[in-house]
Amino acid sequence: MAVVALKPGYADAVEIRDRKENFHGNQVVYLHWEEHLSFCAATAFPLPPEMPLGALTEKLIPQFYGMHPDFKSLDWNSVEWKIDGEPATPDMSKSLAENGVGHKSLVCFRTPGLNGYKGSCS
Amino acid sequence: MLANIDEEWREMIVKYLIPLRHYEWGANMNACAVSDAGYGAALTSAMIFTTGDRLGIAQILSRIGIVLSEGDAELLGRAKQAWMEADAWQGVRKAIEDSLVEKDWFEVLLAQFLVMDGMVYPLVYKHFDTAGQKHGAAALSILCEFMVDWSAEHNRWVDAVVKTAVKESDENRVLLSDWYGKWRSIMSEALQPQAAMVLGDGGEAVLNEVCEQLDARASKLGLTL
Amino acid sequence: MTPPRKKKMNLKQRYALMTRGLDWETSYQKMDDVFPYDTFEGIKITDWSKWEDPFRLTMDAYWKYQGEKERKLYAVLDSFAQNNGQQGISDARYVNAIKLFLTGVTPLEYQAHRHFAHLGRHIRGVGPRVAAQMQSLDELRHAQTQIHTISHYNKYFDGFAEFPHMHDRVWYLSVPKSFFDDACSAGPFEFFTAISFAFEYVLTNLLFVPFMSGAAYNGDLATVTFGFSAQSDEARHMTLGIEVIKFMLEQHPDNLPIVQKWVDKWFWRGHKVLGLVAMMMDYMLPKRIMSWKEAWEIYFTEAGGALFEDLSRYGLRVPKYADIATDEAEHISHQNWAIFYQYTQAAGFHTWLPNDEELDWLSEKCPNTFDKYYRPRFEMWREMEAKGERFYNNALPQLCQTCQIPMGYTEPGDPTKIGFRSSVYKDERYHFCSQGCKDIFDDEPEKFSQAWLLVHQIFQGNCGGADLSDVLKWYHMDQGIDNMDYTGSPDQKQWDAWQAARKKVAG
Repeated sequence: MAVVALKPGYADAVEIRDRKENFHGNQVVYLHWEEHLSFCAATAFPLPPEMPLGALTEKLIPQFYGMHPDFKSLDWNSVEWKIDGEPATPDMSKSLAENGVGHKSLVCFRTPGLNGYKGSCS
Repeated sequence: MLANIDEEWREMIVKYLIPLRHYEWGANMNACAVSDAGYGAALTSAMIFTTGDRLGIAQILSRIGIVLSEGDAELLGRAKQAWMEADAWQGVRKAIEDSLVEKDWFEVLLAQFLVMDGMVYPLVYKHFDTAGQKHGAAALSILCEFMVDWSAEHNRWVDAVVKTAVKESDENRVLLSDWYGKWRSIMSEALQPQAAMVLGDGGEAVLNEVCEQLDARASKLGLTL
Repeated sequence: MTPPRKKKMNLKQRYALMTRGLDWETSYQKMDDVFPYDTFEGIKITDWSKWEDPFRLTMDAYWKYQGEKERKLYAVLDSFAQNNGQQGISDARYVNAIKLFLTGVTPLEYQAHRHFAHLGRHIRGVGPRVAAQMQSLDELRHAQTQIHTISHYNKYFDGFAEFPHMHDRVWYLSVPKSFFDDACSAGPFEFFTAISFAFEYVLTNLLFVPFMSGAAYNGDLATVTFGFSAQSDEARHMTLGIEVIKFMLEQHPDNLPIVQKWVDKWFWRGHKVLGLVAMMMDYMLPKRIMSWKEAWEIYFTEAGGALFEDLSRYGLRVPKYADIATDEAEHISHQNWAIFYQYTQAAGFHTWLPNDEELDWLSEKCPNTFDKYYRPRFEMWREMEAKGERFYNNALPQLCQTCQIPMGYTEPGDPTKIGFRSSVYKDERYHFCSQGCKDIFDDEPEKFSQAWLLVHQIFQGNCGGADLSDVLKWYHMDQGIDNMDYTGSPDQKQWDAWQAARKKVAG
C-alpha cells in the first residue's frame, strides 16, 4: 500500500532522513549478541564501510560487550555469525562492505555454550 | 423581559441582530483556524478560548431569537433566511466566506478580529442599540452586555498582537497595512445597507464615524492607512 | 382571538439550533474550499445530519462547570503546597513517575489541543466540529492544570524543569511525541480514530487509571485532584470517540476497511506507547496498585472485548495482534525497565533495581515469565552493582523505525530472542521491533521513512555532539542530577533529610 496524501506528488517528494549520504562517510551497523538480552537491544555504530570486519571482534565488541560475565569465556572461533538474518562466515581481514555488511545491516553473533547469566539468556 | 419592545423594532431586531449568530459562527471558525494554523502559544491558546467565546455569543444571540419567538425556532429561521438571501446581509456573508478560505492565518486574524469585529461590534452593540432605546429595547441592551464587555477585553489582545507584528519589521507593516486597507474597504461597503436599514438617513454618518474610529485605532497600532 | 400556544422545543431541538443551526451552506465560496481536508482519506460521509450528538453542552454551561472545577482544583493545590504535601508522599522514588508524566504525557495534551483545533475548524459536520472545539479547549486546560500541579514538585525535585524542551529531544520521549506527530500529520478521520477512539476510548483507562490510582496510593493528592478534575471531560472525549467510529461505519460500507486498518494501526501504536505506563506501574510506584498484566486484563481484555463484540455488528473486528499485545502484558514492563536501567545515564528520571520484596511481587504477578526470564537479569545486575561494576550500556541502541523504542522486544512465544523485523523501501533497509510496527511501515513507507530517530540523528551530527555529555547538554539534562540511579541522587539526599527531620520532631 502507498500513503494516502493530501498533496499531489507527496510520495515522490519524500526526503528519506537516514540515507547513507547523511552519515559523513560512515554507514550505520547494528550489532547483536544473541541470548544475552541483558543488552536490551542491538547496538548501533557509525562505521566506515572500508573498516575491516575484524575490528568488531578486536575493538567494538570487547569495548561495549566486555562487561558481561560471559565475555571472558568467549571463543571467537566457535562464534556463529548472521548478516541481515543470513548465516555468514565473515572474513575478518576484509572490509565490512566486502563481507556484505551494508548501511543499516544487522550483524548478529551467537556464542554456543554461552547463553547468558546462569543460562537465562540475560 | 423583551415584551416592552415595539412591534416594529422587534422586526428590526430580527433583521439586524439575530442573523449575527451566523456572523459569530464564522468568527468562531476563524478563531479556530488561527488556533490550528498559528504559531506560538501566546496566539494559539488565546484563539481557542476565543473560539469558545464566539460560539457562546452565537448561542446568546440564538437565545434572544428564541425568546423573541416565544420559545420556538421561527424567528431563527427567518433570520437565517435573511443571512442567506437578504441583500442587506450579502456583503457581510461574502466577506466571512472569503475569510474562511484565506490561507494566511495572520490575515484571517487581522481581517476578523481587527477589521470586521472593529466595525460590526460598535455599529451593532453601540449605535443600533442606542437607536433601540427609543423603541423600548432597554432590556435588549442588558442581554447584549456580555458582547460589549467581551469585545472591550478582546480588543486589547487584538491590538497588542497587531502592534507587536507591525513593530517587528517594515515588511510586516506594509503587508499588514495592505490587508487592513483591503478588508476595511470590503467591510465599510458591506455594512452600508445594514446601517441604512437600521438608522435610515443617519446610517451613513454613523458608519463613517465607526470607520474613522477604527482608522484611528489602526494608526495607533502603527498601520499605514 | 389568542394565537394557539406555541409548542415548546425539546432539549435536542434546542441544542441543534445552538450548534448546527448556526451553520450554512456557503455560496460565495465552495464548501470543498471551506473544508479542504475532510475527503481525501477516502471516508465517505453521505449525510452529516445523521450525526447524533453524544453530549449537549452549550458554551455558558461549559464555562460555568469548568470554572467551578478549576476553582476547586486550585484550592486543593494551595493547601497541598501550604502543608508541604511533597513530604507526605510514599517515597521520593514515586516522583519519578510524575517526571515521566510531565515530560511524556502533558505535552501530548497540548498536542491534542492543537490538533483538535484543526478538527474543530475543518470537519464539515457541525456536531463533531463543536465537540472537537470543546475537546481542544479541554486539552489545553488539562495541559495547563497539569503544569500548574506539577510545578509544585519542580520546586523540590530534579528532572522537571526542562520538560517541553526534553519532549522534543530525548530518546524515549520521541516515542509519545512521534505517536502524536503521526496522528496530527494524518487526515482528520484518521486522527479521530487514533486519538478519540483507539487512545481515548479503548486505551485511556490504561493511562489514567494507573497514574491517578498510583498517585492516590502514594499520597500524591495534587495529582489525584487534577485527575478527578479531568474526568468529566474525559467522559465526553470517550463518547466522541465511539460516536465517530459508529458514524463512519454507518455512513458507507466502503469506510469499513479503512477504519479497520486505522484501528489495527493505532491499537498497536498505543500498545507500544503504553509500555511506558506498564513500566511505571510495575516498577516505579513504591506502593503498587495492580500489575500491568492485571490492568491489561481488566481494561483491555474484558472491557475491550465487550466493546469489539458490540462493534462486530458493523463488521469491525478486534484489532490485529491484540493476542500478541495480550501476551506481551507479562513482558513489556520488564523489558522496558531493563532498557531504562541500562541507559539511566541518558534518562531524565532516576532508576533503581527492584528490592527483594518487589522481585517477589513481580514473580507473583507474572508467574509464567518473571522468574524464568527477568529475575535472573536483575540478579545479575545486582551482583554487578555489589561488586562496584554497575551495568551500563555504553553503546546506542537500535531503534524501531515506527514506534522509535529501542528494539528490546522479543519474539512472540520465545522471550529469549529479540523479534527482529525489517523491510526494504527504495533500496533502504528499515528495522522494526515487531510485526505490528513493520506492517504499519509497509502500509505507508513514504511517511515512516522520514522518521526522526535520535540515534541516527546523533550519528549525523545533529544533537550537540557525539559524546554523552554533549547530548545531555543538548537535552538540557544535568549530569548526576537529573539522570542516573535514585541512590546517590540529590532527590534522595533531600528526601532523606526530610525524613531525618521528621524523626527528630517525632522525638
